[in-house]
Amino acid sequence: MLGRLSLSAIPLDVPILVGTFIGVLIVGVAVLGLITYYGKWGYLWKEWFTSVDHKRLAVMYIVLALVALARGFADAIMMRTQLALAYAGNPGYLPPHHYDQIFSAHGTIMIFFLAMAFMTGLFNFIVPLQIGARDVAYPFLNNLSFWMTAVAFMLVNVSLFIGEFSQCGWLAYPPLSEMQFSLAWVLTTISGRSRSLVLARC
Amino acid sequence: MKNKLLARTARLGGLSSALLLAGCELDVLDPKGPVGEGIKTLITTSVVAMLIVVVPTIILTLWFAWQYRQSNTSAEYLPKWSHSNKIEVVIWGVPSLIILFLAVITYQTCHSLDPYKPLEAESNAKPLHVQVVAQDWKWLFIYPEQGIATVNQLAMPVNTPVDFDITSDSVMNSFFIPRLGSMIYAMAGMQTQLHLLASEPGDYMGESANYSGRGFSDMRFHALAMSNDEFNAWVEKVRASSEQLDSQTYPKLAAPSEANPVEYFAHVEPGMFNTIVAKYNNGMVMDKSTGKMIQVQQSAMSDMNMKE
Repeated sequence: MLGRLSLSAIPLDVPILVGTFIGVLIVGVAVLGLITYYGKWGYLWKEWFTSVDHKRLAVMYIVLALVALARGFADAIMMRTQLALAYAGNPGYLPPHHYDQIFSAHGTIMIFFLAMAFMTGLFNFIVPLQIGARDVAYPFLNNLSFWMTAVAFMLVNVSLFIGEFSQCGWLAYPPLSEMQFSLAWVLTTISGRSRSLVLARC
Repeated sequence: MKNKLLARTARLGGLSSALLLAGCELDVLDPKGPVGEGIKTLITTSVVAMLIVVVPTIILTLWFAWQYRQSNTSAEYLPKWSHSNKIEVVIWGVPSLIILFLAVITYQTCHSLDPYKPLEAESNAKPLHVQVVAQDWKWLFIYPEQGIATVNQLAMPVNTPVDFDITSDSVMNSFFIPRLGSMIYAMAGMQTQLHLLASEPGDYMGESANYSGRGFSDMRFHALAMSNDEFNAWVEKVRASSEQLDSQTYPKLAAPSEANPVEYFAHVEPGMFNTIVAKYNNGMVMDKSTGKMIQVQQSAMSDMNMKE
């Protein structure tokens, strides 16, 4: 059922990733725990998650964009540290194989999940107000688009802890992005995702 | 326990000092050839021109904040002030002049530093012709006039213009020797040109400046600039190698490899470069002297199979 996915796809031998995973787990459990403790699940579900209000969706888009920024920024810090260390024959602290994934992930996440999500959030908030409309033309589609974006972002981030990220840069032009040079399966999430964003603009 | 902590602190200290010193290797700002000199002059001139606005703006921002702070009762207070022709002239005039200046030098250097423009040597030395092929993940240098080829080592006599024809037998790369100047892309099925000249002997780092996959970070070569006599001796050294590069041995070389060592080929089959370009371009290659597309011989093509 899982195809080639097995336990060996989880990089337990990379301490940076294991540490990050534990950190994400702790923060995630804390956030979910706090929501449960204050009994806000019903409120979140009714007023936010299922909302078709363009302003609420805009806020959710921007929150998602800020989470993406945190991930992309962490990647950027790692890249810059590596670049600062790896000169005059020093290999730095990241092997090329890992560095290539980090900078591909950085580009992909910053463009598709920070820049695009943030812009979409701003459009969503401002455009209906500017033109004096009550909401966007397809409010339900607007909500669907947001959740497709959110799920796509989760899928992209899964590669932090399961398997690997693409190593062909965020432009992913052929033939570098072909199977001959790259692991192509992660790219599918990107193509799926941009389509949902275009829809969100109408 | 304490020792461990100490060692870790020392390592952290080393790390931060390394971070501070990281900017020290600025090859582009230490050029060894006329193209690099031109680029350095362009960079410094543009930066100085832009600082004419940047420096006063930063100083004035800090000065205004200090001068017109609430507690400074002796500062001029003009709540009705809204316009000054003098200020308008300065804040629009100076940047406009700078943009005009930058536009002029950009236009001029776009032409004077054109990578396709042949260089003129002071000594009237005959240009050296080198064909560059980016492979996975190494650089192949073919010297058609000498009939030799090398991998990851490029030798050239000083004060002699070097004419490069550049292509790729794989994904896109960018050919760059920072201390000599301009970089230019290497693309399959196409030829790009670059003209460089080394004015001092030395061992200059060359690299790919466009990410090209797994072996990219080790895709480096040494560009050795040497005297004429040394260059001739180097050519003889390459000719003494037992390796040959032809349609039989080429596929083995072109197969992906990482951190490939320097290799010498005593003889290279004529037309090898054109064959490599043509196999990604329907068997056609552009003749540089006439600009027309010409067909490359089929027999050579069929021997060198496409990778896919």
